[in-house]
Amino acid sequence: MNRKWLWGLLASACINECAGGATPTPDLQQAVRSATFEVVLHKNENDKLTYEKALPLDLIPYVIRSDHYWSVGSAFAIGPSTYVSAAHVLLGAVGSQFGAPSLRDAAGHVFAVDQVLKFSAAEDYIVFTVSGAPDVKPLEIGENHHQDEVVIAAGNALGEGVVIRDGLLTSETPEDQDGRWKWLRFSAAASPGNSGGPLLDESGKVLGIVCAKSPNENLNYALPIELVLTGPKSARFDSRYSIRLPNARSSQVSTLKTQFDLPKSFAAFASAYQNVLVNQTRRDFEQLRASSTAELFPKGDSDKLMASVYKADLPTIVQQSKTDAWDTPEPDDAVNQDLPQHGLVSTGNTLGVTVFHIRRPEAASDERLYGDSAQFVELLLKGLKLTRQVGDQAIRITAMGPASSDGAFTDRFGRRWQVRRWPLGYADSYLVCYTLPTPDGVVGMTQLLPSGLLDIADQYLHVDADNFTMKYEGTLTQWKAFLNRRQLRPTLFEVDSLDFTATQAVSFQSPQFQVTLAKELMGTTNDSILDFAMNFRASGPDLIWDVGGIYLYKDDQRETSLGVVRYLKPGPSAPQDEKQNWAQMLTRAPTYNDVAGHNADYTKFWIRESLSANARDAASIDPNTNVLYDVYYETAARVYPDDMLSTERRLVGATRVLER
Amino acid sequence: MKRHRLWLFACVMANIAVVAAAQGSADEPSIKSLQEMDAACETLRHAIWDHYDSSRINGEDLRQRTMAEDIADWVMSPETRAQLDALRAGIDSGNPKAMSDAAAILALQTRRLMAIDTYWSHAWYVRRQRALWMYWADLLPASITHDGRERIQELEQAAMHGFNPDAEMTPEAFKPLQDLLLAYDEERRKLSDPANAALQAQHIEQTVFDRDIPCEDNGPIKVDDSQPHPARVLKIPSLELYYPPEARHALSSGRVRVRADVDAAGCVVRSELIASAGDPVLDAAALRFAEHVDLRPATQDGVPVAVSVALPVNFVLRDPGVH
Repeated sequence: MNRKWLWGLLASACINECAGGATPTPDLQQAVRSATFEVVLHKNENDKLTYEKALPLDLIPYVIRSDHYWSVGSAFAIGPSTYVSAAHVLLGAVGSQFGAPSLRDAAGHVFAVDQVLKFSAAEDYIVFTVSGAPDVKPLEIGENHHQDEVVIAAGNALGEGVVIRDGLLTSETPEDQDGRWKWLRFSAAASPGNSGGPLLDESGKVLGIVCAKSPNENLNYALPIELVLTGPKSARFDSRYSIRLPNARSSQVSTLKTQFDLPKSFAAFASAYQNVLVNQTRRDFEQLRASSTAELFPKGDSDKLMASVYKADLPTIVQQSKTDAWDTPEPDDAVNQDLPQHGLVSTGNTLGVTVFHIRRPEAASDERLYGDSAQFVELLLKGLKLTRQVGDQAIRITAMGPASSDGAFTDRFGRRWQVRRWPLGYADSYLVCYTLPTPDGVVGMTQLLPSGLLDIADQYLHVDADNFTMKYEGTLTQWKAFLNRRQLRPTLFEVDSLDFTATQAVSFQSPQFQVTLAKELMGTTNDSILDFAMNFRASGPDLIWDVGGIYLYKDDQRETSLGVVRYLKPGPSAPQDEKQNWAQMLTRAPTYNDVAGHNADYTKFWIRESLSANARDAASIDPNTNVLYDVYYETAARVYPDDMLSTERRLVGATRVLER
Repeated sequence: MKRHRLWLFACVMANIAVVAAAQGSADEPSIKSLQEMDAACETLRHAIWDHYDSSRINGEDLRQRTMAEDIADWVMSPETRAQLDALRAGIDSGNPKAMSDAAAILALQTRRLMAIDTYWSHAWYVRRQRALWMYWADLLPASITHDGRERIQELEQAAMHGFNPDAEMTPEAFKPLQDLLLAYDEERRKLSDPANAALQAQHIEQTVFDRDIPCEDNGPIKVDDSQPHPARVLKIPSLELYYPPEARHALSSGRVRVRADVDAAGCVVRSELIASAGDPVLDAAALRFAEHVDLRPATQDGVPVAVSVALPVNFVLRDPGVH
């Protein structure tokens, strides 16, 4: 998973228990305890969230609920106003809604982290100063260490305050990437929260920083302290990882090797740190695109996708299937939630992103849906069913208030996305939404993201947005309003034209085809529903996203409809059924033969015909054409054969294919 | 054709009164409520769809019309439907005039559909008999066929051009069609001897087919053992592709047996007729078809050898079907 290394950098380490050796003296314990601090973040207790009911906060353990801080790790003093911790402990505060991290002593005094002096992402250490003047005697540095000596690990275990536990220095292990240094492995017990605390010898001298986890056994990791002392006064990054585009299968190995100068205030450090990661992700994606152009859509195995029209209710993201073919699978776990007044929220998951389609309730104006972020998210939450876990209860979040940021993103097809974020203070995360307006409401994608990952996640979401496909849907009234919102509608409507006049229900023209649907063709009203199914099309070197099918439904029962749907000649690797369908269309074999059909109990009737440029009958279809259109009429009304035939003939007469 | 008969049965079961009126019963047809009218309309509409479905099998008649066109022109036209709609209010309020008017309209529509059905049952046989007669007549010089052609033309005029679905469905109404059918048979019988002689001449020429274009080279034949193996069919092309359109149009079908000479490369180099389908067009098609059967040659002592195989080729007319 390509996003994993980032999470790894920010996640707090979990450290296991283990057995100990000799017991340190009370004096030594006191000295170690007074030089070791908890790293804490101030809780954000100003959430603007609304819940389905009052939160049962008394289910939260007493110690946690009565503390105004989250205890996230440990740190210790190695000099006058020089403190050390594991890098990942303080990185949890980068971008955090909780503000800068602080140190807390045993008496509960809190000192904010001030200047960052040294930092190494790979070795996982950070050296810094704090504001205020803690009364502390720094720990002495151990000269050397040897295998099997007794060691002590001190730290804030499980948020319980600083505890001291002992064990043996068991071995030294080369680090994974290139064996650049050796981890100290020790058997002293360590718990979540111990990270950043000191590993000391029997006499209380510092040997290392407790850094990492030993997943299933008592062999925890500490970084030798001499690496920290000899490290340069800069922030260094040196790591190797694999990365891939979120929708593609092939990955590549990338190296992050850079640095920036220190000291910096924690805020400046956090911002520089995020810049490094965002720029690196951007660079990685550029390199991936450049090195795999031949495999990326619309190249590679794209025949099936290029020949298909997307018309599912939920939007999706173009992605590579297990067979490496490019595809637009319908999202998983699709759920529909009815809203009052014929509204609907549909959600589903694809590529780790939740995609959604909101059909706004009849009374809700489109202006408020796009302009009022509080109202929008309230509708979305009805389908999203976001919960906050309190004790053993999952409490639904029903409103989040206005978004904390409201931006825009224009993707490669000229679609204008609204990008909005809502904070979830209790979890130090954000609900991020990318939305596109549609005639009937909005479609979009959403993710719940830790505060520190927002900017990097945007890089991923931009790729997802560039590969996003959907259908446009709405009543004719809604379409008229949608087309008038020039600032929100996609640029394809600058090329394609869609008009509504008194006698013509719909008149559509694109460079590929045009169709004029008269009102009396099937008794269209303003409440009739018009769907645009979309497809991809190559135009020279460019990939174009355009209307591939028009479906007009008489009403929301969707039983009577007519439509014009584009079919591209299937490529050599296209599935057999698509090739067979193409052969039928080309020869106007059934069911493309302008002969009406019906089901066994006479409740559904259909008629369809295939059309190519300038072709008005079967004989004139160009056998070498690359594109054919299916022109169909379908109804559940009590019709007679000649009703079907006359409607189909008028529909065919109103359709012109312009491409070959 | 089967579906029409089914429809008649359904009609009788569903709405005896209307059908009885249509068949010329002395009883007045009965529509006593909107429900009854709707049920009668639905029965008729379903029957219209069934006939429309069969229309493609029937093809065009001598008027160059289809059954679907006849139905569209005569049965439940938009005007008729509008008339029935206009009567709804009256029926709903119990107006007996409206009820009897509706019943009369429905009776007329049903009678027309039945007349069209009966006419087209005949027309289908006319098409078949005519094709058989034409096939022989076209083989022979005008001196032999002239009188027959004149007679047939006259009867065709009488049978086809006077079609009127509002005419009484008496045996007399269909007499011209039946006369025509008999005439095709009689005239065909008259042509029997000269036509068979003409066919015989063609037949001899077409009992053997020598390959004139080389077979595709499929590479060397792999032989795994020294046991003798007969030639084996690897792939048979779809016979539908070789069914001559003229034979299909003449509703001609039958089984042909062909002996194919297969060389050591698996190529059919010559095919010979063993048993005829009775139609030289099909026989010739079977010989051409045999050439395209993909065979693995026989082997003996580990070596491919040339042999002859018998291929049955069965031309079956398939209902093009309705979807």
